[in-house]
Amino acid sequence: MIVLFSLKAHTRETLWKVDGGYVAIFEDPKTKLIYSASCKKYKCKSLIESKKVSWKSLSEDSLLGGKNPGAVLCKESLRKNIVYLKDLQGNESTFCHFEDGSLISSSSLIQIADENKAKGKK
Amino acid sequence: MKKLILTSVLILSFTSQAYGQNCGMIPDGQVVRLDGENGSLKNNRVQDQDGLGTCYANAASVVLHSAMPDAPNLSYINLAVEYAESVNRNKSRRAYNDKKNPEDKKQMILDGGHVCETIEIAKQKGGVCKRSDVPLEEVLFKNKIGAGADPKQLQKEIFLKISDYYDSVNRTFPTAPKSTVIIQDLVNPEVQKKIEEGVQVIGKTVVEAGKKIGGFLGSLGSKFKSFFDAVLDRKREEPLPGPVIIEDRNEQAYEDLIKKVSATDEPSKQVEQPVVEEPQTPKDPNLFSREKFEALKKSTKELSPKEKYQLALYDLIQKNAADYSLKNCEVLETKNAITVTQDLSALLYSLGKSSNNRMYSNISATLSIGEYYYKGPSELWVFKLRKNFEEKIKQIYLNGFSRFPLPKSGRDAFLQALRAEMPEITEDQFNEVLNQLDPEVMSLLEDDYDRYAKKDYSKCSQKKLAYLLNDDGLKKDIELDPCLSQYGNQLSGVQNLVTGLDKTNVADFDRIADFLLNAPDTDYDESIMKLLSPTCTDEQKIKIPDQLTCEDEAIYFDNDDLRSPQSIELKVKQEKAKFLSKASDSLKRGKAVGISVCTAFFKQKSDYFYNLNRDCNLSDDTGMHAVSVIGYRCKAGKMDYLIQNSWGYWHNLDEVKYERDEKIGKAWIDDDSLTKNMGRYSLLGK
Repeated sequence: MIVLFSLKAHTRETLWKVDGGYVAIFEDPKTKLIYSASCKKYKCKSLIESKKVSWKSLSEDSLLGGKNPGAVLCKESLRKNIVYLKDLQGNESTFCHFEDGSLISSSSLIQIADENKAKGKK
Repeated sequence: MKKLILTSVLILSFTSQAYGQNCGMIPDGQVVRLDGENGSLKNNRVQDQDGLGTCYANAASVVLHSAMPDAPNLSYINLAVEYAESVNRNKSRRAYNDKKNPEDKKQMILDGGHVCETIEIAKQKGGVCKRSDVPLEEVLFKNKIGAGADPKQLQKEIFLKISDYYDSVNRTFPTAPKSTVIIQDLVNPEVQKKIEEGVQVIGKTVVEAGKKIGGFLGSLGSKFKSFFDAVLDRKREEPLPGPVIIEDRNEQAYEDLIKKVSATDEPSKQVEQPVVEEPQTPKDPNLFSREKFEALKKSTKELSPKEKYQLALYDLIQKNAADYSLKNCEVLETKNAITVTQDLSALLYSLGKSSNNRMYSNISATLSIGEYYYKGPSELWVFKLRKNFEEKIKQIYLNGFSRFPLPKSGRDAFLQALRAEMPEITEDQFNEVLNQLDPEVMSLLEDDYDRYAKKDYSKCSQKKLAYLLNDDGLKKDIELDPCLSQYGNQLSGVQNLVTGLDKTNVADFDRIADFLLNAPDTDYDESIMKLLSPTCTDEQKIKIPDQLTCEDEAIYFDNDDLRSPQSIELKVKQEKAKFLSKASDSLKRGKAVGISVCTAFFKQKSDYFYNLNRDCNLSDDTGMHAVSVIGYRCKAGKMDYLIQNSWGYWHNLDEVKYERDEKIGKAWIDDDSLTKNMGRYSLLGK
């Protein structure tokens, strides 16, 4: 039972290449957020600080040309840096990088910003 | 026509009973995906465009990958800059097309475009580089993650730096062939005609002169010599007064520098170097520059302004180059780079506060001049003038000097403009105040008027050239003369590129230097690709076959379509059927389809229907966005399309309506939602 649980848990983790090494990225089945697997062990900044991400901080045409909204949110709303990772198949994706080294996917920031917007309306 | 389509829809609807309820002729259960094992996109990977507005180019690269022989992975950056130069640059001369946003939110001409146009332009331009030939598309993934080692130069930031410099040079030297656009808004047709003629003459001169002197900068080392040869050849052609030893010293300075650098790179060989007795290796690192300055100063008479600028800039770069490793062409440490350029950076920091918006700078300068008024005579009208001066002058500048005929001088223009607003001011009163101004300031006022109203930049260019050679007094002058604020930005761009871009490893020092010197004479796309992709020559570019045509189909709901719920439903059905027919046909032939959608529907929980009111806000709904359709399926009688996005890990869909694909960056979206939110689709011909 424990083995099965463990396997299931591991399927939520994927390895992404960076500078000759790898980082483990976790897809949270509950929140659907995608972030550093290490965040399961401690309160990482990517989960804490990303809570304040907001569409409001973007200027009117920040997203012109179909820019990745998550990457723009990372830079303009959270004032963090983007890192570029590739998965084992070579697919590319940007992640938002925080001071403690933790990462959260750009797309997760879109999700959080949308949720924050919805909360604001209520 | 509509009846015919309606009939077709009905036939399709009837026939579809045997297949899928909404799948036309596609059998239920059939799945086609181009990224499958035998698909044309089996080796294509999801891209992440990050902060660049290049979705159209990302989609075009996917579409071309699926349709071209040997399935090449084409550079979306190359596709985007070619498009930007050919299409967007006609609309906005600047590589930045945004004046109102703060630094980190500026937009570029790179942002926004269409798939088919991108493909057609790439065809006309002679092809596109492979992604593997554009280091920027690879090197970003090689940065270390960790404190102090973040890749601070994102794609967008790199492009902002490059574009900023490109703009600044073209603004500063509007005599470049490209810059003829700037004179389009001249108010006086006579002056315009004369300047146009002048620009053509100067443009030819610059090009010819550039051919003569071009190529002196390349790899640091051999081209040092080429440069000196060029200078010395010029001297040989027309011997200059002064002792011959100056030539020898220049030659020696070159030799000395090479030795000095070689010694730095390979210390073990230092001992083996032949001993140079006379003159000694210069201990002062600036000696080399000073020597060259001497040669430059004596040979600049016959150079065009732009050549003078290039030579002076060359020296500036050269000065910085001493602290670069020639062996690896990498900056040693940021700290060193900053030290090397600290003479610039201290200055530039203060200059950076100056706005790069010329009009604003002009206003600021005029307001500074206005300060002199405040210290003038204390008659009542002066106080009134003081109260209104700022606003009036601002208005004059903002509205432009549009009165005919164009006043001959700045003095006349100001008097005319002020009297239009404050008729009670007499000419004598006006002169009384002006006469109290420092003649130097008055001269600046006239210069400023020449630049702004007459578009005559010659005096400003001369000043800048003089300061490039010797910056004594620049800091003070820049406070008085707004034209120099651009100069500050330009130098700031140089510093940014040399110390920042080099560190990202997307381009080595040589290429940055080459770009700095030659970019203004080449198109935006050419200069950028030369900088970012030196290995991709015209011969290596992947040519797009002429027979590979691309056609756009627009989806538009007109008033007739929108008159009732029934007509809307019918229109949706028609468009669905049309898209099904064309897209499935294309996909069966292995060719992906580019589509432009309002991305709001990706993340709206409720049904989003862009085509109902064609309102696709940019503020938080991302506006129109190009993606690729790379597959379809008929599942339980419903038609879905497989969309490949260029946002990397893309998961935030409303998964009740849309189904995430097992592969990242892709999703299945039903035909109804897609049709309601699609503005156009791009199909490659057979």
